[in-house]
Amino acid sequence: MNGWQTYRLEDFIPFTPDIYWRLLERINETFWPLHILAVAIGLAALLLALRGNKRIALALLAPAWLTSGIIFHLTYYAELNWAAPWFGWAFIAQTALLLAVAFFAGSIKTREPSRGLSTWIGTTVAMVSLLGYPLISTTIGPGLSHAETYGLHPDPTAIATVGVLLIILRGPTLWLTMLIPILWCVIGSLTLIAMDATGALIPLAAVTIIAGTSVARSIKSAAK
Amino acid sequence: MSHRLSRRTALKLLGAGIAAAWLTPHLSLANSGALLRKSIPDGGHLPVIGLGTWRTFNVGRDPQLLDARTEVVRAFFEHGGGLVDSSPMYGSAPDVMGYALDKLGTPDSLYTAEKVWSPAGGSTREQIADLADRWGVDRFDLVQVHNLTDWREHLDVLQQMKADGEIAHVGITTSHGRRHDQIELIMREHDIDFVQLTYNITHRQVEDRLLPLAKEKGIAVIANRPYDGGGLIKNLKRRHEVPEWATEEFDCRNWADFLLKFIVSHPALTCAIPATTSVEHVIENMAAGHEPMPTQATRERMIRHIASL
Repeated sequence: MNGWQTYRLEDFIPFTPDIYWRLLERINETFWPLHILAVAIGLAALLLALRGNKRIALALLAPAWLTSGIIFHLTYYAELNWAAPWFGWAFIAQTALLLAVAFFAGSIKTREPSRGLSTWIGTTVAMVSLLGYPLISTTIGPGLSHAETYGLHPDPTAIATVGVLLIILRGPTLWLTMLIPILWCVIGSLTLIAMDATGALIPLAAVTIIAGTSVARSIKSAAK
Repeated sequence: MSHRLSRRTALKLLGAGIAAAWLTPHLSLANSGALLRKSIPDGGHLPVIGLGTWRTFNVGRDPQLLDARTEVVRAFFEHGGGLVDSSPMYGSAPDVMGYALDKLGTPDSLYTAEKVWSPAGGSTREQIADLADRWGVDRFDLVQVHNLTDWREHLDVLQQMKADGEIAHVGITTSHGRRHDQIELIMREHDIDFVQLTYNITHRQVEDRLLPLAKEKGIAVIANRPYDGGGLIKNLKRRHEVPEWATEEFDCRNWADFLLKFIVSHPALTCAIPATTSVEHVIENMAAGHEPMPTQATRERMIRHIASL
């Protein structure tokens, strides 16, 4: 046996679950109460998106990618996973991308907020990620001390971001800005699956709902 | 093969024997028999249970987990352990071993096993020096070529280092049943002391060619993934009881006994390297290295039993 078929998912995860849960706990111990500020900024971005202030909403999403990229990936996760610096730089690239899209928001395809299904879905996903994910993540890990929060941990950051993006963007810009969040959610879910964690599919399910809604909206729009 | 046993290595192995002989009567979980040791090239002996560090020792700079892993290492040595295996591929595991040894001191029984990996590019000595610095040791007892990466270049340098007395033994590794043809070729054509490969009761491909060849050539064998990455023992513990006949035949008291004794009772096997994060489990693992061991007939019954579950 020489091929890739001999590898299993867990062969790519160089740590045990208890080590990963401790990493989440250490971040929470060190940075509390930054969590409150991060979630407040995320809620402000969602509110502004719903009120049609796209430029500021996009700009407010960017800091969460910078902080979770630097704190989670480059500072902590890099101690455990050789790929973490790559993830960290991808998060910093997403920061720059969101700021660039915010800067050019007047000249690119955006979407006026509506009360349509996609707005409801985007809002629900973002709200659940911003406010509910710390509680949901206690079902993934061993307890509240390991809870994951928007702006510090990558999974809720990516999920809330795609929710807000679905509300305000459309077309290629939407897909371009969702690329890194979607890729991260796939990696995040695979990491949790490899650790046999309950709720491992939550990040993947969230981006599947958002991507599916976006595709359905595009098809509906093309049919008109 | 012609091998010379260095005075340092001989003293360490002798020390390991004395330490284990002293410690054995104090073991609460150990079987009544002695901790089994097997010979290695150059005339030394190693306890049949070692300590793996893949995934379990990659704890970064977490002070709580650094101390927890130090306790695992302490329990390993207190129960007669010798070989600790790590790799530059295992993240911070070499640093964690350095932390543990700094806290505990370096026991005489320690037999250090490290690896070199790609890209070689003339970096073999540099890799080893860096790892020795991370472990806080002067030199390694065994350096293996990790998963055969750049093995020709690495092996040439390792053989030279062994000849110069900079390392005691040279080895190669594979896992998950990969590249066995290449492993066999190297075992036949090159002067190596150790081969590390995957061997457990559900992965026995190496019984056909590699283990008999190792026996014939006097190459010591390290078995990695003795619990198949942990899933094997976890499933057995969750769903099944250890069969009574195993207790009667070789004093088997738990699944760690069952699985590890199966591995190390193979005549060609030198040492199994289970990895764990738990002091309780490391004590359980070390107890499995004590005699009595299953006979060949019992080993066959063990295979049939696992297949029937």
